[in-house]
Amino acid sequence: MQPIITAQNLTKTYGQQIVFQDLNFQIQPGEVVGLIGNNGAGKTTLLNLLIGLQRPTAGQIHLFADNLSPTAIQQKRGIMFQDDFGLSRVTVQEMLALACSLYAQPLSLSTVLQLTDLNSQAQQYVSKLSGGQKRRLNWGLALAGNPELLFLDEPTSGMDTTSRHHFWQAIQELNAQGKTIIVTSHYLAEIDYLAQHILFLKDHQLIHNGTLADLKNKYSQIIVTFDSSQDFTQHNFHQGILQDHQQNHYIYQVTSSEQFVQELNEFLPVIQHLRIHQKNLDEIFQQVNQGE
Amino acid sequence: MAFVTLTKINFKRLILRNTRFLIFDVASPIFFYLIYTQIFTGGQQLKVNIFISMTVFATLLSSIITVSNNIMSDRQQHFFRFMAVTPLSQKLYYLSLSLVFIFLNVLQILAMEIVAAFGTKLNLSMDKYLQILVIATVGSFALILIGAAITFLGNSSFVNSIAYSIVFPLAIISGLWTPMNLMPSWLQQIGKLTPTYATVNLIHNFLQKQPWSWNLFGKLGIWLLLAMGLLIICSRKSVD
Repeated sequence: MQPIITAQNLTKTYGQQIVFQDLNFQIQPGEVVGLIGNNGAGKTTLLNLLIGLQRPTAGQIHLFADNLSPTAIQQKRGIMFQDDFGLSRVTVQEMLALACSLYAQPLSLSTVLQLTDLNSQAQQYVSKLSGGQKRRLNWGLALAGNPELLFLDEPTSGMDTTSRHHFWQAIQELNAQGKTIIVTSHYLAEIDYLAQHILFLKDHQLIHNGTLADLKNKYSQIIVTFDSSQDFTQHNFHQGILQDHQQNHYIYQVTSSEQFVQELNEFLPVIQHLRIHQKNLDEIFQQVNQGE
Repeated sequence: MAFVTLTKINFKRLILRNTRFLIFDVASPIFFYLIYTQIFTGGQQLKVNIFISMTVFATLLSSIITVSNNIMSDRQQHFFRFMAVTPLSQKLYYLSLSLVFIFLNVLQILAMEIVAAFGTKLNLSMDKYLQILVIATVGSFALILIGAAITFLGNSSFVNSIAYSIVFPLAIISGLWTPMNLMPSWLQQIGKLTPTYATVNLIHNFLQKQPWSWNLFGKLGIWLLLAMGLLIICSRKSVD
């Protein structure tokens, strides 16, 4: 399958300052990709290069097929920026209608209003919307062209918890339709929830370009703990190694939590407080940035 | 489709939904005109001269200051970034805005003509009022593009300063506020090169049924091409 995005030896510098260099990655159709890194790691710059707002200092980016014109590419992609777009004294409906009018095969205005849950605000001026409503408007502007490829920059900043979870569901539904989605977010629980593929920028390089599961396995073991009055210190489990033992509390490092729990099956009557823990993306992120 | 949608939106937001601004934009040149007719009293010809100068000044004011203010407002709301990442081209945006601002200039001129005809009893025939309307409107095309081009020069307050630095000196040196023959000859030569001078004198030519002046029309044409070229060059910069 041809990648939807290919980056080859991508480098961006501002004078002597290197933002990143020699990045190589591919994004396949239908992936949800999380782009993560500290402030100043180059996430926004990389996003701007992929969108075409900036040019690389060296290297190449290909979106869709090689022979597509910039205009054709614009028809197939949608972008949700962190900044709110708008015009003074323009209603939500007018702004979305303008966006829909720009594309050859847009979603209908009513569909966009429904997807963004802005039906009640349709006649309201964009400038009078709350922060979360403005984010939903941006979302609508990104979706208007029914794009194959979506770029989302901090999509849920300013949204309340309910809206955020609705948004995550919407992303998953779009992904189920085959859309490719690139997300940057400082809210790593969001990336953890949504992304399958992670691009992790640090020290001018991509330190991880692979699945979220691989990232977790690379930086974090799976730990299983339980309490039991039975002595397990001499028992050999195939899927786990005893890390620590204090009185009745046992701590095992395992390779597969499912298989280890299957091994524990026969002992379940004597086991209490069974817990499985693997570092979440937020913990891994902090671990990596602290240089562990 | 996109152009029609955008123009409808621009028409509503810049004119229909902006009544306070619209009233101010139309009323200020009328105010200047009435002040001038009170200061400089004289015969019919003097009244006509003042009327034409103030009409052209009205279009100068709105084409530079109003246009640049509105575009800066759109820029501050990241609309240029929206254009950069969607199929909406800057060409369509400027064309749409130009149409709306041309309409605004027509409204201003009509309002001035109504005040002149019924307020100050300026005795001109309907076809002369129409000639003034058409030529003053055409003369504003280059000014609208200049108003758009200066928005690339910096932030809002700087652009605002530039706008006022263009409008008032231009009004003075092109003879809109004071007769040019009161100025030093070197300044008169500069004034004669300005688009506002060309517009005023084209109007006088038509009203006095003088031969068509290619010189004046050519000056307006050159200013239009220069302004268009300046806008195209400026708009190729990166978006905010």
